[in-house]
Amino acid sequence: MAHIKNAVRDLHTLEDLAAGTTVIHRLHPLVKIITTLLYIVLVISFNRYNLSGLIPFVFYPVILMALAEIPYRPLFYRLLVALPFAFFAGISNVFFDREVALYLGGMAFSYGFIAFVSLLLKTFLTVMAVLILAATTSLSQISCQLARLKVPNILVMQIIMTYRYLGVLIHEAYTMFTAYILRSPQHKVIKMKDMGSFLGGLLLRSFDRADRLYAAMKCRGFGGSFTISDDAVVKRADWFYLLGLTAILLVLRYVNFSVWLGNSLNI
Amino acid sequence: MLNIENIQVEYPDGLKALTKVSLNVEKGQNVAVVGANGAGKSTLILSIVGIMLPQMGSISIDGMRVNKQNLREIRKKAGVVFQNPDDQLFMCNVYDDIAFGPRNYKFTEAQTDERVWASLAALGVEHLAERSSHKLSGGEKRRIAIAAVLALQPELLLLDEPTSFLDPKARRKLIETFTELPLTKLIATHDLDMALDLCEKVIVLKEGKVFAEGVPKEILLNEELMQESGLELPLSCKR
Repeated sequence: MAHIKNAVRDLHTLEDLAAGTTVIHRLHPLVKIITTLLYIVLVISFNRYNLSGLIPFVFYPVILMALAEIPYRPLFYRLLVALPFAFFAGISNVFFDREVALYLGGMAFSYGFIAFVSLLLKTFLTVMAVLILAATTSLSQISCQLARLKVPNILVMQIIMTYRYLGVLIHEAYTMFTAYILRSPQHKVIKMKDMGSFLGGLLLRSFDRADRLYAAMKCRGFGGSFTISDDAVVKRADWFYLLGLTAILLVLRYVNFSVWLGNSLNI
Repeated sequence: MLNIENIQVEYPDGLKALTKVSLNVEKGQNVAVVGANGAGKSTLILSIVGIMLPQMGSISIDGMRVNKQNLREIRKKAGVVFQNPDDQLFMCNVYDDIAFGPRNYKFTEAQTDERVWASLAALGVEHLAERSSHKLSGGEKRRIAIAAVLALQPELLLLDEPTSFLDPKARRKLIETFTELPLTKLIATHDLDMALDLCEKVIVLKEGKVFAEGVPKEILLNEELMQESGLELPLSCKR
């Protein structure tokens, strides 16, 4: 709670990164969305024991981050939020699937362990792919392309509203927290017995704001759907990127380069 | 331009927000609605555009009576600028926020674009078009919120506390902008100095009723009347 202000700042870091002008930033947003989705689908499609097949896919985030000049720290920081979920979802494999799959340097590795590492790697790769998309494409561009892809209007609107008002909500929580602490100097956090009224107050404020926001929308003719400008044109470079990357990803998916390299080097 | 006759507005819990309110605003006039907190200023504005329809009485704008059937047309004629711009600016960037209204009214993209740039130019904020709404200063947000309403080219501008949250410089700049905007304006405000500077008529609300009405100097400089309505003399007159 003490770092709420940092949370507001962090919330907009990706947006600042998305304002870049590198070759990746300049690509058509639809192309970036399609390639990201393709990458995610291909990564997820690997068998849970096929760790070697996944390894070449690590190059995608590494190369894209270098080309887009995205610093590693803010993305890894966000990745840390997702990894614990994957960790707890996958750890049971280690205990229940103990059949030995391979020996490496005299150490035995079970199928369960490989499945566990594979799940962590898949989480890492897919979350990084989404974060890179968010760090190279503004939310208005993403929303616009989602609408173009016929994603239901209400979902696109929810994405825009959530993003826009998350900061406002955090700011209100911070204001309420400050008011609480100023009248309760012996505490550094909100006491459990006050938490109900704190969260209830925040919820009521959110309802009030939602009411006012909806009134403001109705005053400007809102009738349940809306459109966003789409002036981006798909250029030749976008087609090269889309077709080239699709081909590379498909080859990586169906040719196991790790095994091929190991066999070639006789490892 | 705006004619309100004997309206009564009640909240769902039965609380009477406005009782027998009648007023008249002529075309091109700037009218201030002043009153203490809870006097019914914001409710009056919301009633005019049909967000809260009156249970009794009638409201008409340019001869068109406000009712459920013509709210779309009414909201094109009368634009509301809300007290807090954060309640009004919700799209990802300023351009899309201003284009929101024209697009809802099914203007073509070319017409929308023309209206967006005209509104931005009217407020002198063309340079903000690509910025994210939430990253603007209070004064900038306010100007964009007004531009967003102007994009529908309303005949009547309804402003709810337009100078709240603004520093003195931004406030002064905004008042200058209002002076230059050739529109009929109904301004609900606590800023009595602005009302004195800008408006030709002042309506004082007290507990949901019209308590006094007249030219600003007669109303706002009447200390007794101001005190009775829960207000004070404008700051410029106290010195």
